[in-house]
Amino acid sequence: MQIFGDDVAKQGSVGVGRRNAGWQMAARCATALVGGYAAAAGFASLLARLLPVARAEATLWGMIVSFLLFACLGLWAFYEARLARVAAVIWSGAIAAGTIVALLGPRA
Amino acid sequence: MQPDVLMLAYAAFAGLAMAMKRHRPMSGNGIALSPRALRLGGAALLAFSCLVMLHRIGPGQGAVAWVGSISLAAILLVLLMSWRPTAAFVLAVPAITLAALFSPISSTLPVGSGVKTLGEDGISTGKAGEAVGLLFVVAPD
Amino acid sequence: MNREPGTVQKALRQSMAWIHTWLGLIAGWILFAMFLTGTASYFRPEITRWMQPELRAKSVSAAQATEAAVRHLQATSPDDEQWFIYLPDDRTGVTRVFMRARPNPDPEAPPPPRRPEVKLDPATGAPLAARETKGGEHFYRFHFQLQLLHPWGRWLAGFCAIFMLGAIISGVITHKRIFADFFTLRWGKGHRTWLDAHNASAVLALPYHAMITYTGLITLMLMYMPWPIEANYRNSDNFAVEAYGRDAEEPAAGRSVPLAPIGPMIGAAMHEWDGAAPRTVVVRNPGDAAATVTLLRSPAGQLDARAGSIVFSGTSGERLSASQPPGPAAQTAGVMLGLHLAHFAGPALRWSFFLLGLVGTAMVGTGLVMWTAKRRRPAGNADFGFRLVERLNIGAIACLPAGMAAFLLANRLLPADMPGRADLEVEAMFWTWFGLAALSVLRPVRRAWIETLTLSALAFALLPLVNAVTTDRGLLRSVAAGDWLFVSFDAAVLAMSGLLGLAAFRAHRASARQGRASTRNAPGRPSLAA
Repeated sequence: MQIFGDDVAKQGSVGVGRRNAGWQMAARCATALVGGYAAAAGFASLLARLLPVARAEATLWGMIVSFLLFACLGLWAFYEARLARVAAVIWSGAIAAGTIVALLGPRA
Repeated sequence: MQPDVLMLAYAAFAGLAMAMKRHRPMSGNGIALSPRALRLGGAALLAFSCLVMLHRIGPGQGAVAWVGSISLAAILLVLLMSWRPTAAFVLAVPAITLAALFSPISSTLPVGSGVKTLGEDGISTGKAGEAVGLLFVVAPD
Repeated sequence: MNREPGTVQKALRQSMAWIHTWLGLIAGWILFAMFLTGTASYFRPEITRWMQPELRAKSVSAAQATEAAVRHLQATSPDDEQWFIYLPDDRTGVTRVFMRARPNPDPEAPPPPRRPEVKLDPATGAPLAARETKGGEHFYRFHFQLQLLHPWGRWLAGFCAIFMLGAIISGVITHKRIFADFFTLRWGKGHRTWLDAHNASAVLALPYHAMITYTGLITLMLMYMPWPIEANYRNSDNFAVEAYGRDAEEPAAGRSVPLAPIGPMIGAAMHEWDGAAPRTVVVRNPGDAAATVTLLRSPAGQLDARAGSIVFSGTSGERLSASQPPGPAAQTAGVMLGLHLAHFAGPALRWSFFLLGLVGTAMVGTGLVMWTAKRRRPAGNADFGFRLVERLNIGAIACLPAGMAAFLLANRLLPADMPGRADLEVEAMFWTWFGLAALSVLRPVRRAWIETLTLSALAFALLPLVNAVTTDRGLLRSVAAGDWLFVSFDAAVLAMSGLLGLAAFRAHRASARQGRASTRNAPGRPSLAA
């Protein structure tokens, strides 16, 4: 709320080369929004699948925390300066969590 | 409404504001209390208003109602302070007085026995889920 | 990454400030509308009652209202699969019934059309004749469906809600002087005033904003985040059965047996619930040997919106089963749902929530205006983005209230027996809102602010007048009759009118000051930096 400069993007932690800045920002936004949702869904599902309580309860806990996870992942995507790292962590997190959940299969 | 809780919270925030150098009234008229005393007094009043609310309508709804009331009290204070700072602070005195007068109306308890009765009853801890939900909701403050 | 601790903090603040700005800007206009209509929805039943002034609330016991409704249903739709009876309470004052027809045995046949709800007199069970209206339900539906086709409105609302959550978290991280600035609000200092107002409305009611945003996401979590269910269940229907104790749907036996009286079941349930009343009665397979009656407990007075239920046999009246007490997660979700809906709240707490909702609306509005106040150049901004934001701000902040007032005015001005009037009321809101926003583009920005705010204020001020002329429940009579709902409604719309008028007045003063300054200095674009 304190700093509302137009140019924070250019000089701040999310600053990147001028030519590719547009594409990089688009990739970052897509990673934050789509990747962040996928990763939040993956981790929430993993939590729901692994939490050692009744499955309905575990499912609800997963859903309840998922939005906080999504918000934090999305914000982190704009804090971390290196886009490659953002993309790697979020997308591989989403894929890994999703794969584990798929391999484990639903609870009996 | 729990008008006494609102007024207690108003007075509490007025104390906390007066303790700050930026808001401390320039002329020393009427404010004999040190910033430290104001801060402690404000915090104590705020805690007391919380206990009153929890005791009166239970831990779950009481916590919700308390957080709502102190938010509104703080907003009222800040609006008044931005307009008439001295009057805003002076109003804290009738606020406490009125809170004491209102208590027998809005409370089922006689005035003055508030804190003691609290100890006897004990605030029963809420059901697990309720407590977790509330903690979560109130935590960002 | 080798950042110094100080630099890390600074980089964090800068990135969070940047993202806070853009999250708020992108979702801001819709969030403003969601906040304002959602705030009005705290009084959903009261608005509906105001919009049907022909009806007078009646209070009868739950058993009496149920028996009356069942008499009506047995006479009109004895062969339905399910009856839903929403019992009256002191806020709604009417019984509402909804019937679901038995599905066609032929699987190829189209499903039977959904029939609209019917309002019944609680005491007699006779259908009530009142003007057709969507009532408070319109604001409520709009605030999460945004008048878009299902499911797009709900997805858009969820998108904005998660942006709001991101904006709250990033805003807290950005605001490095939360406690030092806690009581700070300075008027007449240009964009500094907007920043103060934004900070104060955000910080002082932060628990409310965080609560309402997160619990809003929770209300639709089954839609937004169904993946944990997929991870645990082969058949996701089983989740509803396990989590919410929804009973398996028994098919009809095909033998007719008369329905047992429901009054005694309600008595037994209220005894079991320590006197709490049921809110909803669901009769499945009425008149059949396999009939069941499910009583859902009213959530009034408890935070958890999902109160328990008891199932009775519809033929013998015997108690068959009751919902299990919810586990910690189910209870947390129920409490979050309850906090969002605030059905548990008594009048005082509901008014507190209403005021806090207005503070939230102000937070979004001041944030939006600050974006332009911060970027305004003395010589004027020519770029399209800036002018677009400026115009959208006027359209969202100053014109939406006029639209909401138009919805209420249309309710009084359209003939009560006019066919299709409920939809016309809704159209009145959107034509007024978007029409005014479009017209305001023709005016210079600072005039547009002043004029649209003034029109909104006038529209609200007209409501008590129009109500007094078109109904027999004007303010004076309401006061005399002790009809506090109508009195409060008039008081609330007059207060809204006053707030909007004050905003128009301040915009006018700021603009006059600006005008003097710009004639003294360089010729500048009109502006609203207060």
